[in-house]
Amino acid sequence: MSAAHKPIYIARFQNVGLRYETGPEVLSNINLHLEKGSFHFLTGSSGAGKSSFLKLLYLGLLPTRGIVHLFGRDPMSITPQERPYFRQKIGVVFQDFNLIEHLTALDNVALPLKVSGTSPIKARKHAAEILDWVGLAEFIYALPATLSGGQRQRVCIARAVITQPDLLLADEPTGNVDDQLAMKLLYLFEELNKMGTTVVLATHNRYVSAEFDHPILHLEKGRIILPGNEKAKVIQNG
Amino acid sequence: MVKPAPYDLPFDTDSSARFIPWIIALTTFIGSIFMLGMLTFSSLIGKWSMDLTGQATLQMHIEPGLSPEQAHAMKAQVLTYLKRTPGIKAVQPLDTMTTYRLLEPWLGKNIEHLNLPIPFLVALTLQEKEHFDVTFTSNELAKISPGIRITEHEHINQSILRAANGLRMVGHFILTLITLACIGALIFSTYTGLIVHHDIIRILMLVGARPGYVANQFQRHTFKLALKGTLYNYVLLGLVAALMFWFVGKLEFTLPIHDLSISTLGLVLMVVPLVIITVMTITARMTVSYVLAHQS
Repeated sequence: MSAAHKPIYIARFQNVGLRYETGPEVLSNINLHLEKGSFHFLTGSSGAGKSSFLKLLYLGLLPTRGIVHLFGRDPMSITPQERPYFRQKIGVVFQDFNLIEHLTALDNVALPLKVSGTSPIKARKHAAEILDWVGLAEFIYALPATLSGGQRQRVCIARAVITQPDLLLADEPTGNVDDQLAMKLLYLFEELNKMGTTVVLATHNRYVSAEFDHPILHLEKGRIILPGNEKAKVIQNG
Repeated sequence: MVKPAPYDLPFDTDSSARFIPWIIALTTFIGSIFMLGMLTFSSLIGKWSMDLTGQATLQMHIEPGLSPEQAHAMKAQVLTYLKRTPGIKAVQPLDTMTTYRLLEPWLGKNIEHLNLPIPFLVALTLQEKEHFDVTFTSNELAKISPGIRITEHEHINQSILRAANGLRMVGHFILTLITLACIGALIFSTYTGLIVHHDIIRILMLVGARPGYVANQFQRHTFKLALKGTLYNYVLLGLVAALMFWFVGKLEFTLPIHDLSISTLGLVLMVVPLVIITVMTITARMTVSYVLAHQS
């Protein structure tokens, strides 16, 4: 293979295991490569380890065994000073939203731009556009506590995508929205993916994953048991 | 467009920093008072030192049995000797009223009625370049009147300077302790703030905030608190100054602070709060940066 066609991997997992303190492994023998620009669904029932897997990807946790490479670096070797720059490349839609309650929807969405050095005025302007796109133009000055679950989720999505991250991780992003909006949001992820963002979308909704022709990483009891298709670059199961 | 929240962290709901403005106010107030005190003190010492340099005093005890004529003759003899002595530029005998006035702070008014053996005092101005031999002159004058004592003010000057330096050092030590206590209180409050706002800081870090970004938020908040503290300090200074001038007016006494120029006074009142604000904001920033950098 010529150098021009050499795939670039956003993340590589080799025999990765994860356990919380002295408990059993919540993830076991994970072996996979996530190619830059790929789109994966991460499926599995509740408690299968989807959120833990995503945490490994956004440096929320470090593996207890095996080797992870993220953007070509071992997370263990990433210093606390470097960590923010890695996180700025990653957008995360959290299952529990993680919104800052005293900030308006607009300021919550503008945060990733602000922390990366964009001027607050520019960041807010762009945040207003993204909120408009996710259908929350009327709620830009609303505090999260005054929003419904679905609206909060959309704020969270807007915050995750505002920087057009290299890697977008979404933990049940359609869990609190109606089907019509769910599809709209999924097309947003699709659009971002076409623009080069690598997407990993965790869902327990098989209907969602069936709608799109993207590889599926299926987690069961901490192991990936369905390799998905060839595009997934899932090279080995544990 | 609605204004953005001033901080990403809800400092307004944080009661851990409630007392910081008052702590900063007290530190700034004590610092300002100390600086003004030190400058006044230095100015007084400098003035005394200048007054005392090149001066000496002769004390002559008048025996109670001597007649006024005898005493007068003895004084004249002493003055004549002094005027001829090398190293003495001027001889100024002090009259009785001047002597009484000098003793007034210790013995009070109406000294003349106390019937005390008040000595005859002579102020001597010494020549700068010529050596004045105190011991030899004292011994020679003792032949005229035993018990004559000459005190060179240079010795007093040295003692005053030593005492002043000692006082200055004690003052600096106390001020350093107070400033350190203030810094300690701010570190504790900032650390508590980090614990109180842990969840939001975690979110900020997850969206890519550097420790410096969070530290900047704490620094700005501390700056605001320090400014508030500085204002409280000015109110305190104003109250104390008003009280002091009122009290001094009652006593018909002049404050030595009058020796300081308006520009020096203004400089102290500006510089001390500025230094405290700078130290406090840097402390808050360094505390946050240190804690976040050492978190896994």
